[in-house]
Amino acid sequence: MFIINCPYCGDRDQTEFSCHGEAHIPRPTETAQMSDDAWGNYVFFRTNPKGYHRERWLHTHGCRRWFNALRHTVTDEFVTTYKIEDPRPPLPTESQTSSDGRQS
Amino acid sequence: MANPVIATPLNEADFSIDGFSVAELDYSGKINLRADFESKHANQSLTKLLGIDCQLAPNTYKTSGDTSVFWLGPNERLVYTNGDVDAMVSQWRNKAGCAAVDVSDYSSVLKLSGPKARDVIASGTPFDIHPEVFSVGDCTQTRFGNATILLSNHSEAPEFQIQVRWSFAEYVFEYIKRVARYV
Ligand SMILES: [Zn+2]
Repeated sequence: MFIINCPYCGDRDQTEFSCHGEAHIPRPTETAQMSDDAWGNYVFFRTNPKGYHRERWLHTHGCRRWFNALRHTVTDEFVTTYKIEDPRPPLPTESQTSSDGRQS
Repeated sequence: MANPVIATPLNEADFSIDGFSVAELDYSGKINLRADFESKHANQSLTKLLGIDCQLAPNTYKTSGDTSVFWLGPNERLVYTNGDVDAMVSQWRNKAGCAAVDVSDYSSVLKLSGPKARDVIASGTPFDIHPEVFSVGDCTQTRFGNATILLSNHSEAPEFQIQVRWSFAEYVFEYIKRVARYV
């Protein structure tokens, strides 16, 4: 169990939230001209990193707002959470990562 | 059109045990508001219509007479009122530049009181309701068992209200009755 910081409500229990995959994937605009490959990439393919990952989260049982989180996929460390309109936070640098498999 | 029936999911059921009681409140009108409450224009016209300043701090509510306004999100409020909901909704739609929806029949409101009320609520939610962090005038949406609720603190006596969606009302009421015997 861990605590997640909703940018609107503050620290809340993990069970109030749901995760909805990788963040910052813009929906294509010229959809009529898109190839099947391009559609396939947009719909199905994700970076799936072992390490720091920017994700979309929803405060499902709280304010029901979407926000983004920078989380480590191995250690579950939440580096930060930020509003959709906020700039992307930088990934922690190598020197800040520890020897337990974390990487940026 | 069928005749409207004023009803609540639990028929205003109640339950009491030593040190705790829970009761479903009478039917009241509820309106969901979506607007840019940071904008002076929207907020001023709503404040005028409601008699309550809608620019609330996150997770708080305000009451004036029989009207209450709850913070649900940065651009979302919930209004409890005994006034004419139909008239208010159409008036706000036209004048305040916001989305107003009649949600009177979405939910049931339970009143929990007595010295054990805090323990009963704590048994079902991960939210910290210690008086130092959740005081009178505070509200929050959170989880109770498997249901999403709107929890608000109304008195140090203590007295809380739980608003729950219609289809989860019986589940939450039975949950509360059961844990009340053990806390
Ligand atoms: Zn929230």
